[in-house]
Amino acid sequence: MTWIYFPYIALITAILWLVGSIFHNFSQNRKAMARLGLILIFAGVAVLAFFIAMMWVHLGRPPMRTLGETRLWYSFFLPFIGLLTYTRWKYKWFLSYSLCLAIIFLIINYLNPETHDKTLMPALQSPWFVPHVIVYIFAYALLAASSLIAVKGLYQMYFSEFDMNVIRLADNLVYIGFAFLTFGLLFGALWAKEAWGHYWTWDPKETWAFLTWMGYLIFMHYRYYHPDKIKIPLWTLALAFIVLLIAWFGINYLPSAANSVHVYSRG
Amino acid sequence: MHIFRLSHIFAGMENTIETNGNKAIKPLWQFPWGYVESFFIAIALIVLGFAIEFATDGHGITPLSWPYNAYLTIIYLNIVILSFNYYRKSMFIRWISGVPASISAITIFTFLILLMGFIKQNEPGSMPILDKIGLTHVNRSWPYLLVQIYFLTVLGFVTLRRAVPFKTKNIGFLLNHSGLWIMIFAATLGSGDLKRFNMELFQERVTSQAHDAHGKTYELPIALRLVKFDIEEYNPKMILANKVSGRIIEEKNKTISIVDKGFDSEIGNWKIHVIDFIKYALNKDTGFIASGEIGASPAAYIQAKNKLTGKTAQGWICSGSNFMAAKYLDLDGNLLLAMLKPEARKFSSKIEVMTQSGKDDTVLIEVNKPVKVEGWKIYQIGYDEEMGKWSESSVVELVSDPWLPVIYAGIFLSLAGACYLFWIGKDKRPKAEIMSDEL
Repeated sequence: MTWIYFPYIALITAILWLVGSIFHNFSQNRKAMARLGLILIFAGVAVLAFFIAMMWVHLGRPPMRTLGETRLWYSFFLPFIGLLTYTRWKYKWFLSYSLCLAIIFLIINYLNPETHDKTLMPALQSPWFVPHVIVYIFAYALLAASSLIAVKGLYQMYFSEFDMNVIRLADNLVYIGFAFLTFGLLFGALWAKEAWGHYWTWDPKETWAFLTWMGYLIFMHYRYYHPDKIKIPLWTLALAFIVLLIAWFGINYLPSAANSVHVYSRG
Repeated sequence: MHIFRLSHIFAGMENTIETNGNKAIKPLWQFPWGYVESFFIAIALIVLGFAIEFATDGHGITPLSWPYNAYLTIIYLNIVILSFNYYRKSMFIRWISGVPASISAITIFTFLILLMGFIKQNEPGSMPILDKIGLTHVNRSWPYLLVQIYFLTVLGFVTLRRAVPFKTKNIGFLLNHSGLWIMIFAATLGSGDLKRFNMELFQERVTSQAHDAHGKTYELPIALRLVKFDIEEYNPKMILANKVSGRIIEEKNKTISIVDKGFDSEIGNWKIHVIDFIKYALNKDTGFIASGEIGASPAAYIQAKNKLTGKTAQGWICSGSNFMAAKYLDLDGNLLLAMLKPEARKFSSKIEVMTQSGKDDTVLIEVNKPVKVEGWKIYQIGYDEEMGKWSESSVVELVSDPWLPVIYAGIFLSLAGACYLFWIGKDKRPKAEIMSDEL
């Protein structure tokens, strides 16, 4: 099986995930409906897994060598991270949210077929590549959600009545997101030691990733000891997200980062 | 007066004492110290750092190496642990292991790294004043050192205060805080023992001389010889180019596939069939023939047919190399079908390694797959690009970092701490109960 079949596979997978999500999200107390939702979601994962397995057989090697191939793995693993987080924290939308992310990567792959053959440079060919990127995707997604919630909180604070549940939800998202951010940062360090000879070189991407980490650290510490204060943590959360955006893609435009090993646009 | 203004910037961090529910302004520097004193100290340290850096002409600091960094570690740990043991209840230790000090330390550290994020590092010259106060080499500067000491000291005391007496419910806190402390401490103290050298290896001779980042030459206790360098390449891709301008015709959403024998594809209006493909071929009088000689490049025999006009073209194309010109297929007098140079899939060097202990081994190194030999990790980093695949030399990096196991210990504690954060989340106990742990 080759990329020629990908549009069909992606469509079937996406439909199963969307329908499954809707069933699961709107099941309320109907257990059978929630279960059906989960079955459909797993069916979607199974279809994608089948495609990856067949690609593997066809290529005679793990499909992990081109940009397009790595994206298949993101779509494959994101539902599991969503499921794990949902199992622990019982926010139903976590699962739907992670499935949306997974669908986004299916769509990106569908729209950019030239990346299916875009081979990875040797430094990127590492078992660390996929886990490093996936935990970051999930961390960024959760932290993005926490920032949206912070914006909601700021709106409430200035224009209507503030609801403490808003910041409690933000707390939870930041803790979970921060755990994944830490994984991403440390996986990156372990990988860097193998690929570039040192675990930390203050490369601009590393600098900004560390700043992002510190931004959320400030939020968590401040919240921990001043549980009744609202304004500073909400603004910190909004600002930390700006740092995160710089770390993510803003660094491509920073003159201080022109020589970063993480800036691929010149390639 | 301006000091009190500071408290407005950090709104909600007023310098107040609460007694029986009444808030009163506390005189500055009277214990217990709060946010104002903490930030005052943090800012004073960073300013002092800039001043020392300026006074020493922006030379930065040279990290301590073995055994002095070990002595310093022992002395520092003794001071921290003993002072914690004997003066735990003192107002000073309470302050330095407390919340305002922590937040000031995190903030000042973040601030310095933020400057580092905006100012290009290790490229002095654009603004002399930045060189002078250390901002073009932040991680070797005095302000960084002082901020780092403050950060580590606060983090160290914070960790100790939760660690003694040990309670299982504090395990997540301890994993995260001790992990971070160990990583930063070992990375900083160990940087003086980190050795990174580049060595150029040749097939015909054994080398033990290497260069550091500044081009200084060293004699290493390890000698290397290149047995064979190799580049494994992907099959090349095909493109259409304009015959007159030589420009590649880019088509959005058009896959330009990797060439292989029997392959069918379409580019633009052309149907392409690959009749023959040779991974490494030389252009001889009789056509392209497979060859392992220097200069061989991928070549393919192509049959092309225009879908609209029915026009056909047939012939050899090759990517070419530094020793052989590329060959294109003229499709219709306007368009050329060309083969791109293949992309590297793998660089590897087979190396003979000789050590002072008499060891003589042959190892294979690749990008992402370094090899460890007697305390040195050997990385593939370069080759003779003129010769490409037939390079008779290979550049490797030798790295020795004796503190690495300590760093890894810190990393794994932190990973465990992150698992804890994911699973347990925020401490839901009331604030008073959390605080009582620390007294």
